[in-house]
Amino acid sequence: MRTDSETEAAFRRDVREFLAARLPAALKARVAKGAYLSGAEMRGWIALLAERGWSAPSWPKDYGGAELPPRLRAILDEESALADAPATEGLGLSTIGPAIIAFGTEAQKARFLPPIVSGREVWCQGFSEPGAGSDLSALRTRARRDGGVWRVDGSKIWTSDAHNSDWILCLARSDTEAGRHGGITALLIDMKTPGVTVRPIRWMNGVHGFNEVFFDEVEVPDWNRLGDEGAGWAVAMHALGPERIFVSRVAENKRLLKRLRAAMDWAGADRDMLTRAARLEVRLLALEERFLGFLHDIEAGRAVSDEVSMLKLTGSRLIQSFEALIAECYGPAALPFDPARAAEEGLGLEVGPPAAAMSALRLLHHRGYTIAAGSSEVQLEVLSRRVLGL
Amino acid sequence: MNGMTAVAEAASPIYEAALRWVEGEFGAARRARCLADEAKAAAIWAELAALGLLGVSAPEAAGGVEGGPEEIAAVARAFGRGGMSEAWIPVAVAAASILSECGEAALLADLVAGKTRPAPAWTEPGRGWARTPGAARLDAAGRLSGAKTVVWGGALADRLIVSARGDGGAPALVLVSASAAAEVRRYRMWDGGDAAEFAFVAAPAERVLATGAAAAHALDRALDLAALAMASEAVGAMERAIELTREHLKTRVQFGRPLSANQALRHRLTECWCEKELARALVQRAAREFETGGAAERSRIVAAAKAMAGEAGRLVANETVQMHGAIGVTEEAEIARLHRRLLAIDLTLGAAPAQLTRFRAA
Repeated sequence: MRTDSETEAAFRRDVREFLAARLPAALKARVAKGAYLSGAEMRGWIALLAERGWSAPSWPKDYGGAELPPRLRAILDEESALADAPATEGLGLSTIGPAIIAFGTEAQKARFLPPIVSGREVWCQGFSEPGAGSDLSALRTRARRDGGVWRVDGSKIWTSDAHNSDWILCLARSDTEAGRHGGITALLIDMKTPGVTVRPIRWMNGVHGFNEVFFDEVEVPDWNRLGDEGAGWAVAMHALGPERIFVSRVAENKRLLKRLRAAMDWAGADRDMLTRAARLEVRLLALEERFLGFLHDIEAGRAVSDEVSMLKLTGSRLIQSFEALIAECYGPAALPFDPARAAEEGLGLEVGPPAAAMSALRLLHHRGYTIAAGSSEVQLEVLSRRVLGL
Repeated sequence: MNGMTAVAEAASPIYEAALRWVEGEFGAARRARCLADEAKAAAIWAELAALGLLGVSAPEAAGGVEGGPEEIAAVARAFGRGGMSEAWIPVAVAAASILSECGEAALLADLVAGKTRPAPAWTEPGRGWARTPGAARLDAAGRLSGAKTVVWGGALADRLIVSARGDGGAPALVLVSASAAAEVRRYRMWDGGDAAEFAFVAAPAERVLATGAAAAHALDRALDLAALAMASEAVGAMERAIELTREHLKTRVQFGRPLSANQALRHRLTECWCEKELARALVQRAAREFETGGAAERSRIVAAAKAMAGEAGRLVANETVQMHGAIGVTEEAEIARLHRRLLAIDLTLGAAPAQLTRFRAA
């Protein structure tokens, strides 16, 4: 769609060759089908990518990354999508690792970063609570200092992948008198610590994606504190910050455009369907150009403005529009459902093409995209206050 | 990379020059000039010529500034903000492109200098926005017959570039004096532009500019460039409409508090801003890629930008008038003028759904 520079074209070739050589056929088939991947499948793929530093493409080379500039990172995402390679969306790689790089001690970096890059340790993010969703600062999980350790009590909810995770970045209130954003401390907690329990929550498509995580007098060494005591809000904002731009889901939208084309071919789409699909493709072209504009700002050393919230808002809605149209193409074949198969294998119930069965699962799963990671309403509020000055 | 960001684009000298003029000398009063006041219209056109804005993409030899689609888009965006209603797009963008493609250097130089004002005349009654000629015919003796409808810029044009079928039905582009028409009906359109109906009965052509594939190609490029310019003009108009509405929400007090205290209104205006940003990005992309591929790629990306800008423009036009309340639907209000222009831009050359069809067919 967009013309590459020479460097970009060479990198794109390199990625294509790597994917052709290293992406296991069975994994590719699972991704092409749209299956939900198991923890083991994800870890295996991260390990393969790590050979080139591409599991953490933007990270410094010292920490196992490839120091890819944003534009090359976008090409890696795009080519992975087109080749049916898994999207590496692990929170360790996307948000928690970068927060450890920014706030961690040298000892913490040495302990935690290599296993994130290699896929040996997977992380989840303990932010949301029953009473603190969009309003994260209302969190109530407590952390009390007790000599050289912290004692953590409380619970987290909507914790993605906690059941597959080895570690959790937990935000806890260490000072109840220090205002809403003050008095929050970030702790790195081993999920095997006594007192940590995980209870599954199924998405409305039957897949086990969310969890509740309970902390009952969990003892955490002060060594595991990330950043200063009471500085957890800054850690959280950083974790949500640098990768915000990639929440535009440009690469994932391109994956869906490909799926939509396949669905329209299968269904023999009529003129009306083709026009509606064209409308989404046009919006994707616009989103991509705006996304590249932000990348350009980053590469030119400019701060990313608050305008970036429009990417999350637009990209997440676009995903939902694609999914709705794909399901529509498959007609009745998109309706059957087997909760056990969804829960255990991450697959839909096939009465037609496999893609039809998966489209139903994704349609329901992706309904959450405009709610997670800052709901659409939060994005609109940020834009309206900080960009439009209303 | 020119025009990569809002800042870079705003800083382009030609954008600044166009904006200064349209917000300054052009001014609110002259926007409302009446069609009959030809002296005033001529003065405005002379100013555009003096500023070099009639030759944005023309070569230096023709007195132009040798810009490309990105510069055309930049000027159009400024005109969109300022509510330029003169026929700059049909004449200085579309007709100039045709003359340039057809190697008409002398005539192009006259256009750039403001000495001639040709308007492309391709629309025929009952044929919508079809780009191929219908009943209009060029006979073997070089005489033109047929009707052209809603010729944008036609009311003040001294010449027309008429599409017609020549020998064996192949398309031709014919240069003809406006005074050669048997009948002319001049009028305004509700967005402030001027247009006219022309009927030709064996009118002698000044000359034939192109025939066959060359004619089709020249018209196609010209109309793609016009569509790009309109999409960019829509971006400028959206920017201005959003600014006006922002001020209105902050200052208008109802129920004892400013309208902006209502989250519903704030979020609706923010939705408008996001759509405008998408349109701005895609227009920028279309301008950058206009010349980089073949005709099919060009048509495809321009249709995408026109569809996006048309749809976003309609949303912004409707929402910003709604939020202005009663003042928004009055003749004199700036927001109403922007509303009219945004709707007309979407309709002209084919509204968003038609552009989407072009996009997927290209």
